[in-house]
Amino acid sequence: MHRRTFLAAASSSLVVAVGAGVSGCSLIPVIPARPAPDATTALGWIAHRDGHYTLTLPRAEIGQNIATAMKQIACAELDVQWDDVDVALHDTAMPGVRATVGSESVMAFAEPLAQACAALRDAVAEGRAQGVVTVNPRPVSQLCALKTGGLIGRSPEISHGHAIVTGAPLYAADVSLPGRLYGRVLRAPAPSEISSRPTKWNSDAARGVPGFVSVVEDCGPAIGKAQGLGIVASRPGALDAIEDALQIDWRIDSLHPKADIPAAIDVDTQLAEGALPHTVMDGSPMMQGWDVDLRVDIPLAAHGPIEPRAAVAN
Amino acid sequence: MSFVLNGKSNAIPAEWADEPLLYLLPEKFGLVGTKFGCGVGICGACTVIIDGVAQWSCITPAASVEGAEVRTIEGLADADGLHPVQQAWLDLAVPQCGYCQAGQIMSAVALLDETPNPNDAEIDDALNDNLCRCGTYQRIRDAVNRAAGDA
Repeated sequence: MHRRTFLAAASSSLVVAVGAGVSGCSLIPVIPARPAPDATTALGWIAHRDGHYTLTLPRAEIGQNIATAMKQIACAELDVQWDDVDVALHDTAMPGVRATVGSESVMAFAEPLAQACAALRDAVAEGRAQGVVTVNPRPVSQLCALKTGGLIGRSPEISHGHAIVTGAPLYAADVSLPGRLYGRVLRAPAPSEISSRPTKWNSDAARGVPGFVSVVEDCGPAIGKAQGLGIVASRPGALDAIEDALQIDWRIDSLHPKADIPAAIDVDTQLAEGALPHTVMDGSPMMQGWDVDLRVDIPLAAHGPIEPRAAVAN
Repeated sequence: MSFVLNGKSNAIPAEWADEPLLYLLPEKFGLVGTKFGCGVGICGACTVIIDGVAQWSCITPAASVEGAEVRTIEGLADADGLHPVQQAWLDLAVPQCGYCQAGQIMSAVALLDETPNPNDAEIDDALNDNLCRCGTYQRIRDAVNRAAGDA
């Protein structure tokens, strides 16, 4: 959506454009460089309609609770109650939204949002009900939300808390489209650092699995040097059965130069040998023997299993 | 085949009988609160309560719940408001990204149904198989204690 189109779409309410002179725009970017919040990206973060405010988040909410932090800033600067502001997640129509990385959301977005809310507050107080409010940035000391002792330490209701505890939010994996199919890319049981690819598989057996849709040979680029084979099914549980039925032969070109790593880091075997030397290694671990000092048990791949990785294509 | 889902009897489509219960819930009943995390019974994001016991729906075949009572996160609140565990979660601002929280809450509900006043060790043991990437464990334990006090 272009800026002019956005303005037209928002013309029935009072929206805010933040001036390019806001000090938050001049922050030194973290490498890699990404677009800083400016007049275009800030357009329409906060809007007023029929006595209610809508804050459209300028960043993706991925659990950092930026929705709550931004709503705190908006409520404080607008001088309104918590329930007077709705938070909306932005869609892909919002132009130039900065990537959500670097733990910098509040640092980069707090002042532009506070400036926008201050301008909107004044406009509403003047009786304006429609159009675009252009912000003339004011000194930070005049922004209510950023005053010392204002927001820090408060415990507001989490913006999406009620939705989360009732199972309502839609994450990417929850999106359901009519006629949706399920896919998986199979790769050789070998490290991706060495070349591998499928050479032979039993498509006839796979077709016999209820829910089979297709085998996709051209399934995208290799991961590392591991070329995959795609499978598609009409129901998710069929993927395992299709994978088994295919009985894929993999060509794995060579062993990894450190193919003995699993044995080298077999902690139980090392500990079973009895007294440990506890030597102090000097230099790279790759250049000498391994030394096991202790064993620490953590949940298996504590981060891996819970990480939602999903994409939905239409 | 049929089962009771959040208090209402529902049929299990024959073609979905072999699917994990986890997939049946959103695909056939529109319930998206139960999450896919690992798919192999490790992370607990898919936890539901089956006949009073917290179980991983990702490794529970749909056909196996025939005749059973299944409770999901969507079945906790009623006309009077949130379940005490849900309210405690809100009061203590437990969720961060929220992805695992339905599973955490269902494990907590099953625990409190069985043990109304658990000690910290019992809470830790009951929720040991529910992983939270955001690390909300301390608040989860506090919320379970609060819910136990409120129940």
